Amino acid sequence: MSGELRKQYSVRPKSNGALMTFCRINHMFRSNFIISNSSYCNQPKQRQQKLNPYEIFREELKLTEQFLDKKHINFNEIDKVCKEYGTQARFWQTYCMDHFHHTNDINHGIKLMEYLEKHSSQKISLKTLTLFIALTGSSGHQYQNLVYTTFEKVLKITDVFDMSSIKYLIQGFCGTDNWRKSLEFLEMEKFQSTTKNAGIRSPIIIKALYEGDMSLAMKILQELAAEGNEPSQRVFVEMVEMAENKTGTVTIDTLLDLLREKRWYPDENTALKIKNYFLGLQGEEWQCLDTHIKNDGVCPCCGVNLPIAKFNPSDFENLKKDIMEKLIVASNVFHNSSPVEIKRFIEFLNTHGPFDVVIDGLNIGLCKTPLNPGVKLRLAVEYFTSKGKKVLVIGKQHMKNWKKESMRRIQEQAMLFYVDNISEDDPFILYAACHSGENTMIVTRDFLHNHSTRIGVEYQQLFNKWLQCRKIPKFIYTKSGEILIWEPNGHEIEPFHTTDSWHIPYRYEDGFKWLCLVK
Amino acid sequence: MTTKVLATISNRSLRNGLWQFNSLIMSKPNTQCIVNSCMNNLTSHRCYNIPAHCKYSNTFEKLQEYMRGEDLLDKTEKDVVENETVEENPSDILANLNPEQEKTLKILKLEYQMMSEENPQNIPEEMTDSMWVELLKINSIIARSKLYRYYKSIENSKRKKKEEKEMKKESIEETSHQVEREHSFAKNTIFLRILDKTMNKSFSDRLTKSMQFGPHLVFDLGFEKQMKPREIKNTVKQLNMCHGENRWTKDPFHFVFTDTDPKGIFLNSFHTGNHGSGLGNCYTVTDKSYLDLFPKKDLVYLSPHAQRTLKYFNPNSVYIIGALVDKSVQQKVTLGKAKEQGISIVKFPLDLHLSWGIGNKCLTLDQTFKILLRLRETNDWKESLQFVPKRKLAEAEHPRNVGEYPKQRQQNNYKKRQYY
Repeated sequence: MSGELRKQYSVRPKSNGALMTFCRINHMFRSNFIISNSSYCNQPKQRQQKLNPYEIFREELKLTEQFLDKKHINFNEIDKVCKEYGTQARFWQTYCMDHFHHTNDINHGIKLMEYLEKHSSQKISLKTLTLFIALTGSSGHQYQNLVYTTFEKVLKITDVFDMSSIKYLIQGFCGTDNWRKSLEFLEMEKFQSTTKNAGIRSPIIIKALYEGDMSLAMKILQELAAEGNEPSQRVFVEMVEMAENKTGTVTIDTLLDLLREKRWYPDENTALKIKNYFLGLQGEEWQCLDTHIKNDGVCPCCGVNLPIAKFNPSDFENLKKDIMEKLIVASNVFHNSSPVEIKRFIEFLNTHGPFDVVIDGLNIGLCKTPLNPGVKLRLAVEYFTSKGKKVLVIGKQHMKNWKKESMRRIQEQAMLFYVDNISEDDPFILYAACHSGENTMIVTRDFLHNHSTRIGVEYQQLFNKWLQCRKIPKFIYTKSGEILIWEPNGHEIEPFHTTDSWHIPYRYEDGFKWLCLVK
Repeated sequence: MTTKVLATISNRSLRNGLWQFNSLIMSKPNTQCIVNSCMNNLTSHRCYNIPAHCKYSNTFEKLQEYMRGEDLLDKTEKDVVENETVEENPSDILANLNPEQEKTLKILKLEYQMMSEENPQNIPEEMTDSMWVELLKINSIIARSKLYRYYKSIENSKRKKKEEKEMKKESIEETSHQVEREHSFAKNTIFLRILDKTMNKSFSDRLTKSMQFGPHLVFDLGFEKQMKPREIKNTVKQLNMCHGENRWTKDPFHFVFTDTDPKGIFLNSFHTGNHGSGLGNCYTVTDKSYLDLFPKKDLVYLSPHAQRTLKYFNPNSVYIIGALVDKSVQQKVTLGKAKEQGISIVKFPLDLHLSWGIGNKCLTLDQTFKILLRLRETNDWKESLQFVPKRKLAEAEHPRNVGEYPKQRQQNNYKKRQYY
C-alpha cells in the first residue's frame, strides 16, 4: 500500500463500536495480541484521608495550642476561625467542652455555656450539654443545681438517650444527691446493645460504695461477671482509697475477697496503690516487696508456702461435658473431627484407663530446636516414664512417618493415639486430661486461649484455673541433648491471707507478679 | 399467572438432530416450560437455547403429574419460578412497631445524629425507611457503624456517576462535531458489524453443547443460612463474574447450582434481571443436591482446608465449589459437608508453586474459577495460578509485607541459639 493509504488504515479505530468488535474477535479466539491492563500495581492504594472534624480542630486549626491552653479564652475568635474554614467545622463547641472535660476545668466550661446562651444563633448541641453535666458532676458537690438545670434543657430535646449520652449523664448524676436516677438511664442501654458495658457502670458502683449500699454494688458486679466482663481498674483504685480514708464501709478485705471470688487481677498501678496503703497504715509495720514466685510455690522473700488448689469432682464432670459439646462437637461434628473418630477415642480411653501425663506430640515435635522431632518426643516421654508415670501421647496420622526407632521406643513405654490429619487435636488432649482425673499434667507450649473463649461463660473460670495449675509452664532442650521440665506445683494464683502476711498477684506483661506483704 | 408450555422430545427427533425453542416466548419471566426427555441422565439433554427458568422432568410420569396439577399438592415450596413472595413495604413495617421497637428507633435516630457530628465522612446524609428497618435488626454498635459506612460508600459511588455523566455530556457536545468529519469509520469500515444478538447466540450455542457433553461445574448454594445479607450479595456478584468469564471462553463449563433454598434470596437473584431471562444464558438451578445428579465417584469437592492437593485436571470428574463468603465466621464448613457425604476433598497446590507472603489462602469464587479454566486448557499450574492476587505473594512491595514481622520469620532459621 502506498504511504498515504497506509497512514489512514493503520490508525486504530476510534469509534466505540468498531473497537468492541475488534476486542470480541480477539477475545474469542485468544490470539496473541491480548489487550489487557495489569491488574495490580506495586504501589499500595493511597486512601484519600478525609479528616474528622475533631482532627481538623486539632491539627489544621490547632485550637488547643492557640486558644484553649490560655487563661483567658475568647470564643469569638474561635467562631470566626471555624466559619472561615467551612461547614465541616461547625461544632467547635463540642471540641472545646471535650477538652475542658478531660482537663476538669469547670470555670471555662461555665463561661462557654454563658457565651452560647447569649449568642442564640448557635444551637447548643446535645453533646455539649451532656459533657457539661459530666464536668459539673465530677468536679464537686457544689455544682448540683447546674446539673439539674442543664438536664431540664436536655429533656426538651429528647426523651430518650443513646450510649454516649448515657455515659456522660451517669457521670454527672453520680456526683449529686439524686444519684439513683442514673439507674433509670442504665435501663435504656438494653435497647441499643445486648451486651453490658463495664465502663458505664463504674461511677454507679463507686457512688454506691460511698453511700454504703453494698447490695447494689454487688448486684451490678455480679451481672457483669455473669457475662464474663471485668469492671474497669478505676473501681479497684477507688475502693483502696476509700479504705484509706475510711469513708463508707469498705475495707481492704472486701476488695481482696472480691478479687478472689471472681478471679479478677489488678493492674500495676492498682498494685502500687495497695502497696502504699499498707505502707501508710499506722500502728502496724508492713514490709512490701514485688517478686516472681516460681514453681515451687514458695515465696522467696518470706518463705511461705502458697496453698494448693482443690477441685470439685462434680464440677469436673460438667467441664468434661462442656468440652465435648463445645470444643469437639461445636456446631457440626464434621468440622473438627468425625463421629467414628470420637467413638474410637472414647473406647480407647475406657480400656486403657486414666493417665498421669498427657503430651501434645505435635507441639513438642515442631518446636524450634534443631533436633529430630521423634527424638524430642522420646526425650519428653522418657523423662516421665523414668519416674514411673503413665503417659499418653496424642498426635496426627502423619507422625507415623517420623523416625522409626524413636517411635518404636515410645510405643514400648507409653500409649499413642493418632488423630486424623484433617481434624484438630487440642480438644482431644483436653478431654483426655479431664477424663483422667484432677492430677493429670498437660505438656504443651500452647496457651489455649481460643478454647477458653469457646467454652462459654459458666465454666471459663474453672477452665483457666485448671490450666494454670496443671499445665507445664516451661520446658527447654539443652545443648547436650537433654530436656529440662519445670513441673507445676498446683498453687493458686489468688490473693492469699494468713495472720501475718498477704500475697497478692497482679498482671505484669504476659504473666503474673506477686506483692509480698509481711508485718 | 403463569403460562405453561409443554415440549417433549421424542426419540426420533433426538436421532435426527437438534431443534430450537421459540426464544421470544421463553424470554418472558412468567412462563414455565417443561422439557421431557426419555433419558434419565442430565447429560443427554438435547436442547437448544433454553433459558434458566425451565423445569426439567426426567420421567414421563412426573410430566403427567404436572399437567394434572398434582405436584402442587405435595410441596408448594417447589413452585420456585413464580415471584410471588410477599415483600412488605419498609414504611409499612415502620408503622406497625412494638412500643419497645419504637423506643429503639428513637434511640437509633439520636445515635445517627450524634455520629454525624463526629464522623461525617462515614455516615450517609439521607436515610430512607428501608435503611432503618435493616438497622433495627442489628444489636451491636460496631456492626451498625459498619453498615453506615457501607451506605455512605453507595452514596459516594452514585454521586461520582452523576458527575461523570455530566462530564461526558460536556465532552460529547464539544467533540460531536469533530467526529462526523474525521471519523467516518462507523459507517465505512472493513470490519464486520457484529451485533449483541449474534454474540449471545454464539454463547448460547456453546453453553448448550457443554450442557450435553461438556464438563459440569457444581456450585453448592446450600450455605445461605450461615451467611449475612451482605455476604450473600457478595456471593451473587462473584457468581455473576464467573458466569461472565464462562460465556466468553471457547469451551465453557456447564454451571449447575444445587441445594438452593426455595424461600431464599439466591433463586430470586437468578430469575430476575439480566442474567435470568434473556438470550445467551444457559445454566441449571435445582433444589436437589449434587449427590442425586451425578455418580458419587466422579465428585470432587474443592475446599481450602483439605489435606490433598489437585495434581491435574480430570475432565471426567465433576468439580464442586462451595458458594460461600466467610468473612465473619470462619469455620471449616465445606470440609465438614464433604466429609459427611464421603466425597474426596482437594485443594490447590499453592505452597508448591508460589512463594506466599501475607494473606488468607481462601480464594474468592471468581479467582478459583479462572484458575480452573486455565488449568483445563493448559495443564500448567504456573500459568493458571497467576490469578491469585499478587498482593498476597512475597514479591509484592506491600507495606504490610515490608514490615518487620515477616522478615524476622525468615532470619530466625539462621540464628544459632543455645537454649530453646
